[in-house]
Amino acid sequence: MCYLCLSFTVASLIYFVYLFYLDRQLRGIRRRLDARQKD
Amino acid sequence: MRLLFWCLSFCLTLVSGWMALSVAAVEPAEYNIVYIHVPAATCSLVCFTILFICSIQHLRTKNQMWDHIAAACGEVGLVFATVLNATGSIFAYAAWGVWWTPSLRLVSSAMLWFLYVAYLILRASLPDQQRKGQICAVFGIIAFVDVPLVYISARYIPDIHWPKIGFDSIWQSVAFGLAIGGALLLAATLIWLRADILKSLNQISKPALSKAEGTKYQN
Repeated sequence: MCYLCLSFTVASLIYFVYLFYLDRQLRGIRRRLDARQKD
Repeated sequence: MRLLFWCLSFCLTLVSGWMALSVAAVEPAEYNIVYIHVPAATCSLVCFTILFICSIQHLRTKNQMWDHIAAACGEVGLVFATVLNATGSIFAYAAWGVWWTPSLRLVSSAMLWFLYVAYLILRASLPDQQRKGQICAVFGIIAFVDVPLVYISARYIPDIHWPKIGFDSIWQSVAFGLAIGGALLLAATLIWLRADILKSLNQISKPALSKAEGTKYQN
């Protein structure tokens, strides 16, 4: 059972890290668009 | 639309997870890793197949959209290949007492991960957008050789790894199908989102509109 929980934890961690990375990319795009509009 | 995909994927995964822990549980308990491991394997192979098709289309049509989708498939495929290898190692230790063994199946899966990493490193290292697309497309086409190798070694070559998954009850088959469906939907949504991000980044990096053009679009 602990190996099953470990697998689930590792898989969830990998998926969430990638979602976090995508979120950072989106924030960067928004920042650049805002800066461009101000110019 | 994308939100619908997210919700559907979440629901399918939740339902299959609930079934895997109750009516569709496999004995011993660590064998239930198959509900995480096989969907990740399916998605990583599908991502690499889509990357292969998009690479061919990019070389044929020179359309940037195919390059964005290929890049998105490379990243999302790497995520699923990481889950595939990580859960495979955990299962190997639980079932056979070793984290990894040099069998054809495991070596081809590890190669798949390294090929994805090499693809992304190649993309990051080339500055010129046009040449980047062409060189990465060629790499994506050549690297596709590993995909049938992974599939054939997993299904048809006798190995310490199971050749085929057999279920005792219909609930297990349903849970397995739902897990694969949920994972494929998640992969599709991630690819869609990532391709949109790359398209936006590409547009932002172009020179800013001239004042006249900006005025024209504001009116």
